[in-house]
Amino acid sequence: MSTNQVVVRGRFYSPANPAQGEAITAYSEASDLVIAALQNNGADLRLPLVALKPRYGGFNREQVYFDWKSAQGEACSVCFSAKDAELLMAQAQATATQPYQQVRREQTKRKRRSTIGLGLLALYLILPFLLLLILLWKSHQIAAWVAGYVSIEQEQALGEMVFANATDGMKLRQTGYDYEVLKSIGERLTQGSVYDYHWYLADTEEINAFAVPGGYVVANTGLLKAADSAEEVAGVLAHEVQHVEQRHTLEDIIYSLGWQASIALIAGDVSSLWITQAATQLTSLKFSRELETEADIKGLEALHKANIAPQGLVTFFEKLAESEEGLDSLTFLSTHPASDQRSANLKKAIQQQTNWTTLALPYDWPKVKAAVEQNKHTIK
Amino acid sequence: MSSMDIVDYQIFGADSQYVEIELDPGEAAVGEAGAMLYMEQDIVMETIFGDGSASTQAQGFFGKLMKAGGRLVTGESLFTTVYMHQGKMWKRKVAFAAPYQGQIVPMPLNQLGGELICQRDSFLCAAKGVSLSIAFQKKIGTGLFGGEGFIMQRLQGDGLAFIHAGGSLIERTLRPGEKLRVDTGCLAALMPSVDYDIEYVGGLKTAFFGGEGLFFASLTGPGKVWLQSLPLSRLANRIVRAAPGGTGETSVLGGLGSFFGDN
Ligand SMILES: [Zn+2]
Repeated sequence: MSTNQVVVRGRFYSPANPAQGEAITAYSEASDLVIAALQNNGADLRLPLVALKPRYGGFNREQVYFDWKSAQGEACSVCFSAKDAELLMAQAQATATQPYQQVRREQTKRKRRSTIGLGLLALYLILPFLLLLILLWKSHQIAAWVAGYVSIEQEQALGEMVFANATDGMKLRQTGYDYEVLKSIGERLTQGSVYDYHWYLADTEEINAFAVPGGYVVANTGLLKAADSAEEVAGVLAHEVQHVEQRHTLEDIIYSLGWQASIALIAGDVSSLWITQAATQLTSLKFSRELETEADIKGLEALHKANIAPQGLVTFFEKLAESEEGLDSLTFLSTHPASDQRSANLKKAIQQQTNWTTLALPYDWPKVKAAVEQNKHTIK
Repeated sequence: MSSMDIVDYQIFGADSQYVEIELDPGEAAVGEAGAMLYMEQDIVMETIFGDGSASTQAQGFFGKLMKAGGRLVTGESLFTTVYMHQGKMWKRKVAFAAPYQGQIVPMPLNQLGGELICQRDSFLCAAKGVSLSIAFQKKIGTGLFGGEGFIMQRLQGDGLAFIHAGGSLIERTLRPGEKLRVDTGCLAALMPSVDYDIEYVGGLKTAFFGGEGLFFASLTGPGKVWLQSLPLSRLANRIVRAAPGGTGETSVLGGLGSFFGDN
């Protein structure tokens, strides 16, 4: 044995001690594995590597065993840690270690397969949660993306369904002077639209208006009562209509639909509950600040195109915020806060429009208000 | 100096056994709280974080936490109960009972190379100083089809541990390279030198008509293995099948759950 020889610890299993084995030290020399000074006879055991059958073994296959048959035909084995086996084999003659190299390659392959397998298993187990996280994280973008694939016809059909749900129990009408004025203002604002608009008046004191995908617009009589001019109503309608035109409501419904659908998917229970829920939320939809700003700006453009004075959009909200009406206007104000920032932005946008030719809306506003009062009693 | 306590014990009973451990003043034993049968006066029961072995006491807080986490994974309780003889004189006894019919096997770890891997629910009790940790099967095949064998319990130290084997116990010494195929549930304990793999046995015919013996644990020597003739899973399986409405069928997810959950 040369001085720079690597000596490693291992365990030797023989018929004399098959269960526990005995602690030994070993080194390799040329094409032999040498087990030093065995307890039973004190002599070195020199084994030619070609006669040894290497394998990975032990509970987690983290050890290397070299098996052989003794002269008497008895099974023997010597075991090293994977690291020590590598050291031993590095010292030995390369050609003699070929069986070991082969086994080691197989082990590497097996380990890689195991890792991939465990990875796939883990992925399978966490996939529902992963999907949920992605949905949560990118939900608005996903909804916008999905909305892009919805045709106008589909949107109109969905709108019809949602409208039926949302207005369930509401007193709607499509008659009376006040309704005719509402419809007329709305049609001025939606000329050339791809949507087929339907206008409704709901008899309730609450100051609110909302629009359903596909072009269903509901305005409360409370809105007409609170407005001092047709231009103010036009401003509000111009804004609400843009939530349809820009597909804000559609995206929001898809967003809540996708959300419910993913929960149902994970819980394994799919019901049609979502459509009702999406509809009930509709009268108090709260869009993001960006979408509201977009509706404001596009609404101004629509007013401009229809030659309607735009100031009504600003003044109506300002008036609402200051008014004593409080509770009645709560819904609309909570979804459309009349912040100073918003007013300032709108005023700035109005000033930037230089060639704004306005024509006064040709409606008898006191007559509209009177019609609201009158029709309220007749509708019952 | 050895960290373990020398323990005298006696095993009673034939089919449903219990082990009575005799403690000198200051000596202690650890056991799962649910396994204790009785304890004499002066023996104080204390629930500790970890397993009470010297190694856990030496580790920092995070070491303890990791080990306790490991115990959670094996389905054992987070805390171990230590039964300490705090009297000044006399020997006192504490007894632990087997959970169901079978045999209690004393395992002198010092004579077994200082380490033993056993089925999760096989461990009964040990002299304080035996460290308990999880032995996680990293081989994917074993993990998927090994059933109870996926996560096992590792006992380390030089003390005496007691294992419970359901039904009858079979102790086998495997020569180097000698192979023994065992039903996965029937493996109670093995030495860490034994190669443990899962083997698919038989073709389609076995798959359809062979019942539960589809996957076998393939054990390769050298080392000792301990087998139990009546694993709890097999017993439970029969009871569920015999119960009204019980079908014993499992879904893919149920199958996956079964090696994480209780068996
Ligand atoms: Zn809005």
